[in-house]
Amino acid sequence: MASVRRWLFALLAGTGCAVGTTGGITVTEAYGFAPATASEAAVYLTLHNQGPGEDTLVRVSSPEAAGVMLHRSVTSGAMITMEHVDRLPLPVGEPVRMAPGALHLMLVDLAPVPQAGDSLSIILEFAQGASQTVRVPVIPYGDPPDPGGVPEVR
Amino acid sequence: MRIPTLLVAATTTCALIGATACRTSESTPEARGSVEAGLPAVVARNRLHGVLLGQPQPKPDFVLTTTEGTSFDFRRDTDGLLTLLFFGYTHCPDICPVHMSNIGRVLKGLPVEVTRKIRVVFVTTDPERDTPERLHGWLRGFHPDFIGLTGTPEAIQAAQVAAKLMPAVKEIVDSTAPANYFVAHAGQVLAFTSDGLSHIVYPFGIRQADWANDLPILVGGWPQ
Repeated sequence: MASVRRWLFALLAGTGCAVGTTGGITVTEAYGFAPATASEAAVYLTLHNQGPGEDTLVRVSSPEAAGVMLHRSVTSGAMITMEHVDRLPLPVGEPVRMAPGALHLMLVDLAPVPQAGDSLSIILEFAQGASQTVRVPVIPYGDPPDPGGVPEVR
Repeated sequence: MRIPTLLVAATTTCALIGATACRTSESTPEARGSVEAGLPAVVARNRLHGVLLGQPQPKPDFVLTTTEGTSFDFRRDTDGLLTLLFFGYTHCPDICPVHMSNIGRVLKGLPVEVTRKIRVVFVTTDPERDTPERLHGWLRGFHPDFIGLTGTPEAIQAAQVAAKLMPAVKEIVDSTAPANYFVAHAGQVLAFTSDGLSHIVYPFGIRQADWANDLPILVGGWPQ
């Protein structure tokens, strides 16, 4: 079943049935966790650069947050530290996946504070000049959803 | 289900505690099919999904303050109970809430006979921003029975050292916004069984299914 889902996901991602596509960049597997406080929330996306040229994610914002930062949680020894990522290179044909405990978007000072079942708008700007807005479903904090298991934005 | 980060974290946990005999438990088909009562200890241990420590660690001896303002003696007040201990902070968007939500959601699905023998203790590594009110509200979002502890920076640091963890450190990632600092902290949840020892830890990457598997086994005491 899992492999069927993965195949289906690959098919959907490949045919553009995704959260958003602009230029050569397709966004899939987008979800955010319903924040426990108004001050921080985490959002995860997978970015596919289908070419023709290299591109870079250079800026992220949201009308529902005072700021959005791209961060990477890094396990170093037994410690987990945080790195700020200024620019995220998007090589052609290599999906860049965000995931809990790794690359993620941190939203700060949210208004209104989204609940599970709501959605958030994320605006992505790329070095090649394109920008796109994706609607991201908000789910309760916990395990990351299985590939293809991200709920539809209502 | 088991993911690479777990293996990485397992290695790092070993490095931290200086154990050389650390290993990750494996489930065998025979073990999964066994009846829990009367299970040989080695089979019971092999059914666990957490990361076994080569050298069990004693329960740390520290006294901190609950979000209600009462004194909490970690050893005395969790004596004989399965105790999960985690050090983190409420401004953490990615690691701490995932751990706490996963534990909270699993506890809500377990019978009360199991959950009444479990305590979950979260110690803030950011006492400067985590006021008792903020910490209390944040934890209640995950489970009403979670115990939040705070104290002076020195007392919190000493508690981490007593738990054989590298103490958390403040990190200013964005120099233009120094108030929005991070706190680098240990990523694993420590589990202490009724014998007052930690034989097993839960690095980041552990999932709800892992907790749902392990907690009912551990609540009966460490399989000897």
